[in-house]
Amino acid sequence: MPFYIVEPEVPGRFGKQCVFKDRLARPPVVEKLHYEFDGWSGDDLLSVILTYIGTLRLAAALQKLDPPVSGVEFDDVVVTKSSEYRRWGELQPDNLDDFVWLKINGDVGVDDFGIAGRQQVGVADRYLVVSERVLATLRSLNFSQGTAVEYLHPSSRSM
Amino acid sequence: MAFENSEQNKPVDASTQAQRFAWAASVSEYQGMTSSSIQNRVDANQAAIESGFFNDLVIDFGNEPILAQASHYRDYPTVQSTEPAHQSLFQDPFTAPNKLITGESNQPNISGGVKDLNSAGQLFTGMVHEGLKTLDFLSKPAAINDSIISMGPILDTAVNYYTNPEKISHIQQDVTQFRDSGLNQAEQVIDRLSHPMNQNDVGHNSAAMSPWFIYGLKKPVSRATAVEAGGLTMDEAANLSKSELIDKLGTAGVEWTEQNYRDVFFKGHPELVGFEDQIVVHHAIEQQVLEEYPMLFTAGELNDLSNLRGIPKDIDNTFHKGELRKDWDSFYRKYPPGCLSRDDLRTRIIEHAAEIDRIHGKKFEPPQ
Repeated sequence: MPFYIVEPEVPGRFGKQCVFKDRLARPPVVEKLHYEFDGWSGDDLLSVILTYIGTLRLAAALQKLDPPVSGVEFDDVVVTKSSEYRRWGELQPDNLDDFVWLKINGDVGVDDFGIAGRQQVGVADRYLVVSERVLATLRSLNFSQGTAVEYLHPSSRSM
Repeated sequence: MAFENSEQNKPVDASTQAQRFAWAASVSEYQGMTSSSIQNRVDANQAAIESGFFNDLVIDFGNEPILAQASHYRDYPTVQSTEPAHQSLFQDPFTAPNKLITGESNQPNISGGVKDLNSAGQLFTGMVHEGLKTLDFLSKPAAINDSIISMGPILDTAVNYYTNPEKISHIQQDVTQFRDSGLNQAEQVIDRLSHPMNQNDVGHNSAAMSPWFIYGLKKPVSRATAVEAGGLTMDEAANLSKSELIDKLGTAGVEWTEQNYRDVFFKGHPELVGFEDQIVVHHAIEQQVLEEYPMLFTAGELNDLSNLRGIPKDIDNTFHKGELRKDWDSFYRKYPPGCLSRDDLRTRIIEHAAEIDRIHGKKFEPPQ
């Protein structure tokens, strides 16, 4: 089954209510997530530095997958609008949807969600990889600002 | 900081100017700007304040408190001193941070109040004069910020006048003068006040923000927060001169920036003034860098004109908050704090911003 590197929309950033266990890690180790929106074009999957949130309808769609979606847990996230969001309010939806935190914990190329790449000493190179069916789910909703390219597993590249 | 930006001071040719005008004129917000009521406007502004868009401020005119933006009225240097008729409006910013401080405004001194008047005619003429100055000012774009600040002395004068029955006989003559001279401006003011506030009303000044930044935070903080972060009490701060306070807080990681970045941008690009509601000002090196890499850049560096880019608002979501944010997010993924030496990381960030200019420069306003 093919897998894809996905880069979702990044319409916001970590908010002040975030509690980090390791801010420097990639992805950062977050205990409590607060996502502050500077804008939003309506995509269902959003990110900031390898940390992902999704709309409730995305979560519901993923939870309907059969066999059950793997490599992700859903948790609470606090979402707020920044002053930038309000300043240009006519460009954004008046109200934010309800969002959930997608905590990625799967194995790349095996589970539906995984974080590929590695963080060596110094520069990191990591990204989200999802299964074909997850990408299809994203595209069935709103994925207008996201991008996806096929993921080539290192073992397949060496062959 | 001197980022290369050789284009920024080039004059804009007529064709470009015409294109900008057509672009702005095509936006529906310029049309049908009269509607609703003043109450709607007050409600909209109050909602903005309550939602945190503006800092809280209550100007208490008795039983009808008026809410207004306060942040940039507090921390800016005095432009012109006034002799206010309503002393209660002129509070010490250190001791009354939630009161309007007109004496410390950086806004035009649109009304200095009416003083030392010996006759009703002089008094009302002075009031009309002050009123017309205010109306003329309010009829201009970006004036709404300053409207409330102008009202105090005029209202005081009016109240004082009408409490003296001997002065009433002069009213008709003065009202006629007022009507003839000020009707046009008044209509413009009412027009502007009778629709919900938009960016055009707010102008670039309303994006004004506190000039105090704490290292490691992207957003400015209030003076009170800055003083607290500097280990001072408000009383101690009040006993320091402005320069002493800046120096003192500077040693504690609190930075003072002279102007907000939107002001800097539009002062640096006067050809774009009038299009403030159409242009989102973006930082070439993102402000987020202040939080991701504390102490690597200062807010003053990032708010320098050389680091500011205008982005037409119609591509803000797709380009600014789309492509550019994803691009920077990718950078943050790749370069965690501490991954390189301070100098190398700083250089890498500057190079990254320059690369974005090379790739996307034509999308900026003015183009890079």
